[in-house]
Amino acid sequence: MILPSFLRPLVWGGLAAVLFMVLPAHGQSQPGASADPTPPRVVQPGAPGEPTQVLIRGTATEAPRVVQPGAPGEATRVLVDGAEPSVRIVRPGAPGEPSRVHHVRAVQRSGEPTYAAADVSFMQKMILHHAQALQMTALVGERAARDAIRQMAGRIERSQMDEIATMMNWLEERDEAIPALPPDVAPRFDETGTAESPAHGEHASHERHDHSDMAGMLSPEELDELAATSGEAFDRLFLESMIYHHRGAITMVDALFRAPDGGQETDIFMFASHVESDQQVEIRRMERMLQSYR
Amino acid sequence: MTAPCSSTAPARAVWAGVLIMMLSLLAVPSVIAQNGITSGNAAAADAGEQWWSPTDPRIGLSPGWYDAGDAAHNMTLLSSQPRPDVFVDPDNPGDLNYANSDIAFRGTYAIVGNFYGFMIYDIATPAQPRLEVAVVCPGGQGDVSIHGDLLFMSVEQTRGRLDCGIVGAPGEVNQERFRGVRIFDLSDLTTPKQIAAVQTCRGSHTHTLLKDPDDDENLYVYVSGTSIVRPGEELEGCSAASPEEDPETSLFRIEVIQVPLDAPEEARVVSEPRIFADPETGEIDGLWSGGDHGEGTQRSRPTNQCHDITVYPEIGRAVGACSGNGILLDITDPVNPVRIDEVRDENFAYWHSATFNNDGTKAIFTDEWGGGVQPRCRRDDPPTWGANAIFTLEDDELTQEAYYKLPAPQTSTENCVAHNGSLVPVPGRDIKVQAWYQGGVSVFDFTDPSNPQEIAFFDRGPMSPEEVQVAGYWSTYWYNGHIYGTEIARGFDVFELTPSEHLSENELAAARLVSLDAFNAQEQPRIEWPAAYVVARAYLDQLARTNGLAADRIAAARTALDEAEALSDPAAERDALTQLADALADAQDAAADAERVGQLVESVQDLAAASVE
Repeated sequence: MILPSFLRPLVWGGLAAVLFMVLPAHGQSQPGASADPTPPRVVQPGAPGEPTQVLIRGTATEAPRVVQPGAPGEATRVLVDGAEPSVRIVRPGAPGEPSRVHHVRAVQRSGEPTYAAADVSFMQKMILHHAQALQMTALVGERAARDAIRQMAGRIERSQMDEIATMMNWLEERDEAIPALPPDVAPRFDETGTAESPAHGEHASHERHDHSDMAGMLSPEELDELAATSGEAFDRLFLESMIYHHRGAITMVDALFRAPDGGQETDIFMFASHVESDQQVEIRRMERMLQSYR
Repeated sequence: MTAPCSSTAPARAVWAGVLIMMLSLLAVPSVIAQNGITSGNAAAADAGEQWWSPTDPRIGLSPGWYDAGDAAHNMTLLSSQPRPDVFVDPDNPGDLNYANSDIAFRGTYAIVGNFYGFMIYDIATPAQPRLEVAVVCPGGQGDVSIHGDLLFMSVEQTRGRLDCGIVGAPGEVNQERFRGVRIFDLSDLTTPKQIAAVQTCRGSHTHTLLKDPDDDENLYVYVSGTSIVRPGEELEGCSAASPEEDPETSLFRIEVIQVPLDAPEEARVVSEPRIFADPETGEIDGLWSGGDHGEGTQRSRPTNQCHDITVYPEIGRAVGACSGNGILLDITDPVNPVRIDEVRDENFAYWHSATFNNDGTKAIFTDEWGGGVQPRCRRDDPPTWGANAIFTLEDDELTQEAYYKLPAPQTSTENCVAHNGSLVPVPGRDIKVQAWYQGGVSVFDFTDPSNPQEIAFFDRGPMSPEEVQVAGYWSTYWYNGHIYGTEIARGFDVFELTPSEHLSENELAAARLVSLDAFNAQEQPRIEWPAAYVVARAYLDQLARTNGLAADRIAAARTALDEAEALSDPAAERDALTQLADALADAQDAAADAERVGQLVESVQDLAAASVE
C-alpha cells in the first residue's frame, strides 16, 4: 500500500483512525479505464445456457456514504458523506505494461488489527506441539491392542498434519520463521508445507529435543516409555498421553487470547478457535474410550 | 488436493482457503482431517457413478474475479454490484475479513451483511440496486435480520467492539469487546444507530428472529453460538467446561434474547435452553457425541451447538441444524423451546441450516461439509456428502427421503458446498433457490421429496485456477419477484427466473404475486396467494406437465378461464367461475392428481368469491 506523505491520519472519536489513502483499483489492471465516476457494472445476458456478456466491467465502487455506529446509545459517525467527490489517479506501468487506475478512497482501515508477535509465537509453537502428536501416532502400529486406537490415531494424524501445513503456510506468507520439524516428521511435509502421505509402519526414532516446558509436551523419556509399551497397556498410556498433549494445545490457545493483541486478526481467530474446539472434541472422545478400557 | 492447502497455491490464498471456522465454524476441523490426506476413501466408493452431465455448461468456465466466465440456465443475471471499496482488500479478493454474508429484506431495501459491517441497498428497481450506505462495524459473520426499524446482527470474533471500532479488542478480558447480537435502529436508514448490544458467551454465529403470534409486546431472538467460549471474568457465568465438570457450561445450549418492542434497548437474554438434553436422564449432552457412524461413513461433529435455526411461527415449529443432528422444536412457548424430534445422518459432517416447505410437511437440511471454505463439489466427492437432505415432516416426525447436491462438478479451487436458500413461492410446488458458494446458484423442485430436480442455475468460473480464493454465493433468496444473492467476493447480484419447460410463465407470474413487507430467511412466513387467474393457470400448467388431469379437461378449463376473465359483469364472471369450479370438482376423483385438481378448484372458487367483492 502506498501512503502519500501529504495524507495525514485523522483520529475519529479516538478510536478508528481514518485515513485518506490511495489504493489500487480492483481486479486486473485496466488500461484506458473510463472516466470518473467509476461506472457500475453492466451485463447483457445471453440466450438460455449462453454466457452473460459483460459490457462494462466496473470495479468495486466507492460507497456514496459510509457510517460507523457508536456503542449502544452513542451517536453514529459519518465517515464519508456521499457529497465528497472521489479522485482518479492513473499510474503507468512498466514499459509495455498497462496502466493501473487508482482511486482516492475516503475511508481506510488504518488501525485494523494485524497479526501480532503473540500470533507468530503461537503458530511456531503449535507446529512443534502438533509434530509431537505425529511422533506419538507413529508409535501406534502394532503396539495398540485395539482397532479403535488405530482409528483414533489415524484421525489425529490427519488433522494434525493438515493443521501443521496450514500453520507453515501462515508463517511463510508473513515471512516469519518456520520452526524446524523433528527429523522423523519433517520428511512428511514438502517445502511449501503441504502434507505428504502419512508414514506408516515402523516407528521412527523420535527427536530428542526436549520441549516439555511447553504445555502438553511429553519429555523424551515419556515418549520412550510409550514406545516401550504394548497391548492394552499401550492403549491406555497412549490415550492418557494424547489427552495430556491435547490439553496443552488448549492451554496454548487460552494463552494466545490472553496475550496482548493475540488472536485479533480474523485468520488467527478462526484458526485458534478451530484448534481449540477440535482438541476439545478429541479429548472428550478419548476420555470416553479410556473410561471404557478401565 | 492432497491437503487442505493446495501445494501449488501461493501462501496467502492457501491460508484463506484453509481458514477454518469462518463460514461455519466448527464444521471444518473434522473436514480438514477427512479430506486432507486420505479423504477419498468413502468418496471413492461412490465415485464410480457419474452424477453429472458431461455437457453441463458449468464445466470448464474460465476463471477470474470480476471477469470469470459464467453459465446460466432458466435464470438471468440482471445486475452485479461489486462490494464498495471499504469492504474490499484489492490485494486479496478472497479475504474473509470483508466477506459478504447473509441478507435481510424490508420493503424496497436489502440489507447485506458482511464480516466488516453491513450495506443497505435500495432495490426499488431490482435490476439496478443502489447502495444507500455502507456501515462499518466489524466482528463477523455479520448475519443480519430485520423487524420493523430494528436490525439485528451477529458478531462472534474476539476483535468485535461495542463501539463498532475497527481497531480490535485485544487481551483475554476486554470490557470493550463485543460478541453477541447487536441491535440497530434503522429509522434513519442512511444513519443506522446502535441501540443495544446483547453479549453472549460464544458470541453469535447466526441468529433467528421469532415473533410469537400471541405476544405483541416482545420479539425473541434465538442465538446460535459456535465459537470459543469467553472467560467468566469477561462475561459472568461463561464456562467452557464439559458438562461433567460444570453443569452450567455455556456449551450445549442456545440463548434466547427477549426484545421489548417498546424499549428494544432493554433487550436481554431470558433463557438458555438445553435443547440437546436427554429427556430421560436429563444429561444436557444427550445428542450426537461426534465421530463417524461406522465403516466408510462421514464424521459428524458433536452436538454441542446449533449452527442455524429456522422458525415457522405459523405452525409453532422450528428446525434446528445443530452440528451433529437435525432437530425439530416446538416453539409455541418462545422462551422455552422443546425438542420433539431429532435425526442424524451418516453422510452429514455438519448440520448447517434448514428450510421448511410452505405446508410445513417437509424440511430440507444442509450439510456444510468443509465449512464453506473447501472444494467439496469435485467429481470424486460423493453426491451424498455436503448435500441437502430432504425430509418429510408428519406428526412431528422427520423422515429422510433423498439427497440433493449441486448436479455439476466444480474445480478443486472452488469452495463449494450446500449453503443458504429460500423457497420460490410457486403455488402447488415446493421449489428452493440455494447458494452453493463457488458452485453458484441452483434452483430445484422438491415437490416429490424422493426425487428432487434442478430447474435453473447460474455459475461463474473459479476466482483463481491455482488456489482456493474463498468466494461464491453465501445466500440466494427469492424476495418479491427476484432472486438476490450475496457473493462473498463479487458483491450483490440480482437475478430473475425465466420460463422453461420446468416452470411456466403462469407459475412464475403466480410466484411474483407474493409480496412480503419484509423477509428473513430464518423466520419463515406462510406464503399465501391472492385470488388471481394466473394462480389457477399455474395449477393447470402443472396438471398438464404431469398428466394429472385429462388433456381435454385442461383445455376446456383454460378456455373457461379465459372467457370468465373477459367478462365485464362481475356476477356473470362469478357464475362462470363457479360453474368451472363445479365441473373441475366433478372431475377430481377420476384425475391422476386429484390433490392438485383440488387446489385448482379452490383457486377457482377463490376467484369466484373475489370477482364480486
